[in-house]
Amino acid sequence: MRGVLETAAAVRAGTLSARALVEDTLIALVADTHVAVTRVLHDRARAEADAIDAMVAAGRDPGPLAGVPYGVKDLFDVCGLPTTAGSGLYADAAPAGADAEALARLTAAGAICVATLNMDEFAYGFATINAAYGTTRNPSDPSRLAGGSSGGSAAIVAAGLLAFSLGSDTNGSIRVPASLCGLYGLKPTHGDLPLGGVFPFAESFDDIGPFTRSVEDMALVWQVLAGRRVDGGRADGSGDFRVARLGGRFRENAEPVQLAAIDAIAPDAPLVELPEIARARSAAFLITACEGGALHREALAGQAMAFDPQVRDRLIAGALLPEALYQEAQAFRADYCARIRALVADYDVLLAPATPTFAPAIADPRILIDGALSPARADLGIHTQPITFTGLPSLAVPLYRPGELPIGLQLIGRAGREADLFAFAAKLEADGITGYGMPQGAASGHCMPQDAA
Amino acid sequence: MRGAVIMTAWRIVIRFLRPRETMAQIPVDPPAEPPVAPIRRDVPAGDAEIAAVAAARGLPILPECAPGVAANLALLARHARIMRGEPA
Repeated sequence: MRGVLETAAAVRAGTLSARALVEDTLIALVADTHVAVTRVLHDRARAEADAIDAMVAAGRDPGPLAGVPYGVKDLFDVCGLPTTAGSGLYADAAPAGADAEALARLTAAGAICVATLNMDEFAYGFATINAAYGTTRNPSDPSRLAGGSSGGSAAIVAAGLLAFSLGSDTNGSIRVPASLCGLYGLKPTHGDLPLGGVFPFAESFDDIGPFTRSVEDMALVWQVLAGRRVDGGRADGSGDFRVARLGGRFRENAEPVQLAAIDAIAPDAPLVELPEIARARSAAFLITACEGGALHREALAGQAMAFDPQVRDRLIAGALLPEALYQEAQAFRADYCARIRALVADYDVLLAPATPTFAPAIADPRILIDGALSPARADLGIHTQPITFTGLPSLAVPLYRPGELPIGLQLIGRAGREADLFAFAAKLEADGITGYGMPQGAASGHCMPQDAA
Repeated sequence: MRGAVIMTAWRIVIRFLRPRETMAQIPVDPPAEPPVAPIRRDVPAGDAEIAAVAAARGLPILPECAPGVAANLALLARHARIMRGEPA
């Protein structure tokens, strides 16, 4: 099981044929049993692989992601294909005239797009339970959810079929499945990575980001997407991180293994309680509902029965919210963001759980929140949603637990300081605290934290 | 007598020669304010209210959707209360 760096190095050196790698990958994707793939892009992948091999043969460098196959959540424009956003409603839509901007940047760096990947319809959910394309399975336990809404993007990387993938994160749709599938998943500083050609959900919070199995791969893919280099850690170059642990509601709804890891990582770090965190999450919930409902109102009025029933009813409800309530939530957000940014300005990294629990069973997709059972589809993002609200970057990191159900933490940083998060995560990975633990039955090989670091 | 007749005739002429703008400045009762609907801040609840709001927005709710929409609106109402710091 090769990672991004290893694959690109081999292709650039001419020791690995991009075409051969793509052929193996296409076979594996067609045979995938996790309901992670919605379309396999055979012709495009082969053409791009041949072009990469030709460049290498001609002595030219295809780029830092040379020949690396990857997939995208089914809401990125892929030239020549309809962008479905996970909905049967758009299965026969007009094909996209160009790739999304993120794909264009990855292609320019030599990466090869081989598949579109499953998601909750219109990204409205944390479960990847999709009426049109099926429920994505967790590679660590196929009877459990992969999380969502970027569940296909997470499952396919966790299963070892691709070295990286792209997802989108509006309220936790990258970090939740990253936690449940045992991967690194980045929600960048709001608006930092290109959203051109991405089907929107709630524009106040929409972001895109990668899934990978190592920090090193994450940093490389982020560099390509962001168009700038990781600068190696803290702005002052000291290598010492000012760390705080998030308390209150974050610790009240968490697994003991998450709290033990947080306390082991930073035993002396102050416990910071973000004020009014429940109010923030509820405001995010309302803004998302309003913006999502408004986006789809016209289609709901004419083709309601073509929607996934559970998504449809959520969207209709959002479309009926009063404008004044939306403005009230946005006003709260503006005030809240200013307060939180001031509060956390003295820290480089905040530690928090990424999800409140492990992957729920598909047969009973409910989780305990504040002692009561709640639908996983709506509430798995209880810890990611309030962070999204602030616009700060957040990197989900997997606790290293080979052979056990995956679960992750969030490393939350200052705006524009993703490099701090990568440097801090690399230390955790090197110490064996975080890392990808290959699920049984995954593609092949084993990526130990020390190998990946 | 002749002077009084001349003055009266002059006032009549002046009245008809008065510019229209000046006429418009004559105080009149202001028109009644149109009734202003109170700004709605609450999440619609109950079948009738939900149906009325939906109809006003051109979004008919099919019978198959009604229970799910009502349940989701109840959840959103709960979030609105939490956001305002009220008991959930």
